[in-house]
Amino acid sequence: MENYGLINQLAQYLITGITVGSIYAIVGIGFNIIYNATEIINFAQGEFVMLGGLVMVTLVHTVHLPMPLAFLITIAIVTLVGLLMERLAIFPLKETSVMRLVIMTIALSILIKGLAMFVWGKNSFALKPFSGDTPLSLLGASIVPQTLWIIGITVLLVVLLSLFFGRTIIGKAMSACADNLEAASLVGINAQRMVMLSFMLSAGLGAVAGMIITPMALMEYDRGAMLALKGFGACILGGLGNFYGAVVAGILLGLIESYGAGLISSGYKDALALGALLLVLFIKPSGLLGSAEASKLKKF
Amino acid sequence: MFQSENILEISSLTKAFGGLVAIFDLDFTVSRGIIKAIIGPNGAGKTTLFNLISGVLSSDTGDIIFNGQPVTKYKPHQLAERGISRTFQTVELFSEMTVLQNVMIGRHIRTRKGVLSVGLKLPASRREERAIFEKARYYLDFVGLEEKADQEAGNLPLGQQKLLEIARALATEPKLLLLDEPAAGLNETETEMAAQLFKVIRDEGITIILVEHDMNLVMNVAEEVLVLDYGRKIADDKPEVVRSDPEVINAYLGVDIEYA
Amino acid sequence: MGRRNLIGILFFSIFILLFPLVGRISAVSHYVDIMIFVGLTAMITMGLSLLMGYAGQISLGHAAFYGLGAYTSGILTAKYGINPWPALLAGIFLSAAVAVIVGSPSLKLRGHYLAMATLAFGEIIYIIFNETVSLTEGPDGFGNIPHLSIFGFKFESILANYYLVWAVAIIMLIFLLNIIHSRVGRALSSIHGSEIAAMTMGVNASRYKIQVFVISAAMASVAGSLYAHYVQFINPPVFDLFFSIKLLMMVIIGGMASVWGAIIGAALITFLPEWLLFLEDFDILAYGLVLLLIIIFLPKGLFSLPGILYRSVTPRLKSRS
Ligand SMILES: Nc1ncnc2c1ncn2[C@@H]1O[C@H](COP(=O)(O)OP(=O)(O)OP(=O)(O)O)[C@@H](O)[C@H]1O
Ligand SMILES: [Mg+2]
Repeated sequence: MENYGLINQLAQYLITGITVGSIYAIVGIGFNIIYNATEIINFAQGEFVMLGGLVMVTLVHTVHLPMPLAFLITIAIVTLVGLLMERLAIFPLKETSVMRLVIMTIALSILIKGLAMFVWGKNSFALKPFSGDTPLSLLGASIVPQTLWIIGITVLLVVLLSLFFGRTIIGKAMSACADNLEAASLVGINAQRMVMLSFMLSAGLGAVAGMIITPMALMEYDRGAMLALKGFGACILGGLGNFYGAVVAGILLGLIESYGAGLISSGYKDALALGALLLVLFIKPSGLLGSAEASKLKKF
Repeated sequence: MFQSENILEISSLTKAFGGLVAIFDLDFTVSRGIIKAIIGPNGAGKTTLFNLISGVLSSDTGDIIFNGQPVTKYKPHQLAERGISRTFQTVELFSEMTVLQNVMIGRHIRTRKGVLSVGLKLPASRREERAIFEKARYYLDFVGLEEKADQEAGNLPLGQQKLLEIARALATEPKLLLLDEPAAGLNETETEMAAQLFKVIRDEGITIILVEHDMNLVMNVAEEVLVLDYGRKIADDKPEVVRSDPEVINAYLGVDIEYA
Repeated sequence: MGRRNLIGILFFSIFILLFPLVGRISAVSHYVDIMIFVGLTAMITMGLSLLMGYAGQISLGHAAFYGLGAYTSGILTAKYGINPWPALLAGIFLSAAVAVIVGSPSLKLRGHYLAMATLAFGEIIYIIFNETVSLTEGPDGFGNIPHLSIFGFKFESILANYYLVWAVAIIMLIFLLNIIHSRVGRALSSIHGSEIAAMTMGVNASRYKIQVFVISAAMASVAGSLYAHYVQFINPPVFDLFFSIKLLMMVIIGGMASVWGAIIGAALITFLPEWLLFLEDFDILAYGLVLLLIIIFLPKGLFSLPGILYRSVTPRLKSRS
């Protein structure tokens, strides 16, 4: 009976880890998409997630839109924010240092956070789960249905994105852009349009992450930075610019946190995850799946 | 102390970039105190060879013996310390620093004071700074750029930038000086003066390896000429012998002598 | 270090000397207190600007060294009754040692990887401050840290602390300017000019990167110790990641490759919330906006502003004559 309880618990941690890790993975992918097009780390990535959650809350609970419709409108709105951000703040700075652009994204994240506080105030908001909250039982662990939504949507996103980057012309163009900006413009890919698209795409992704996590974790105006941090961790641990790297690393970080909190100490769970990240970087400076060759070609 | 007769001995040196073999199984030596020229068509591997000797690139196979000591896998700063210095085909100055400061960097490897000592301006570090300054002025003087000392290096005309690179390289007190196309872009009088300068440097006891396309300059200053083509040695001899070597003429003029 | 810097230091010292006169104006009398924090922050940003602007390395973990200094001083003096001066030294040694251990593998990392590594390091230290409750009292923090004193004089008043902090900051400024105008500073800037030429001139970049990292860590540690003895109370939030990010922002906004810029950046970002106080809850919005505008309109940072103004005025003067 004792053992059975332990196994149940381990299963529970597994599911929590994968759920949290999925969110990190999506945020990490968002970082990668922009990094690939521009070499910058967009520290406002977490704000997209925050906006996704809060806009959805408003559309569902204040405007009373049906969930699927609210879902789509939220994506559209946050994507628009991504577009505006690129057009108004990043695009005008072209021909500048990566460092300055990164600092710009920090300023933008503060600004968006301020705007969100202006609109929603400082309270935390709840969002009703996508399909009720009667727990299901799986592998002896009890899980809320929202968990399945999170994992399912993450899997769906990963599949869709790999199809997008592997099969469609725009997707391939974005990857080509990633490999070599100048060469891409030589073969007629409009690099600037790709940068714009990258901001829109990763804003949309962030919005999805925000919407699926809010029913489980609430959302408030200043959550973005913490989420960005974890996503950044996932994207570095996986290897900058590496799509699957971010997925693997995001889930890995989620698992370390979840098992660390359950088995060792909840206070040190973040330290454990970050310590693991440091260890990996010291051994393999380009991340788990990153290639040292590729990263040498980049300035950052 | 025993000094080997050759300052540089290179054996079976090979370097490939992906599929492209830039240097292939190269053997040659450079005797102490001479000017040796390396010539060859564009893309023959001359600059790559300099990059290997100065440690900027590491070879795939082969050995480099400098001053009697194997230095094959050494880092650039270790080689600089042992006495190899160089200039660059595409000028590589610290363009935002002054001319004098550029040469002062050349003294870096010959000076010692660390962060704490310079931060606190300890007397020893003041003395060292003074010495760096004076030596740097000396080498500027040596190449005739003393009047440009306080100008920004990037603002000099190309000919003077090339001279500045030589002054900076000399400031490291090298035993072996590698010059990569020092006369490219110079006019006739400047080239003539450069030739004189190279001879003076050699007479000071510094061995020079000179990569150069200007045949007149090569024939004028070099005691030996090594000819490269597609990364291989096709001749290595006195200038007058090399000049009449059919294979060299073939490589250079693209004329197939046997069938001509 | 050049005449311009000498004159700069002279005028700046006079400014610092006279600044407390604003204390007589009641509306801004608390500015002297804020200036103490500017001085403490500037000690960190100056070191960071050497690290970023000259050694080309980024750090998002310097709040941790600030914290290591503060906690070492705080714990040793308040809990073990050790004299503050050796405690301050202990903080420096601890920070320097940690910087060597973390710096050696980290500084091999490039760009964003280095940013993440230093960030992770800072966050881990922050978590340790929170979790080792027996030593640090955790999130509650602890007080009873004594003021510094020397030859029987106790640095108790705001004014005494102001002069102490700024004297140390100016000494650090001179120290850094000396480094910049030495073989070490030249070596560091040569790497930006041409990495390949620097290499073949024998500049061993990695060695200086570590040294500068350690020095900047030690300076942050001193700032932390002085903070602890001035405020007499420490708790973790002061040393969190967002402070590290702020430090980075100060350096960039001030003008990255200039220690003077680092002081200006520290002053602006430290005073800004004070000036935006009247906006109440919307200060964060204005804060973001100000940053945005500076980044857009002053690409080389605030320190370039006088030059830009000068250049825009001189042609007019010339055309008049
Ligand atoms: N870093 C590199 N990566 C890939 N290929 C290289 C690299 N450096 C040189 N090459 C190639 O190696 C070959 C030799 O180049 P190298 O620059 O050594 O020739 P060179 O003899 O100096 O020519 P030139 O007279 O034009 O200066 C060329 O085909 C060149 O394209
Ligand atoms: Mg060449």
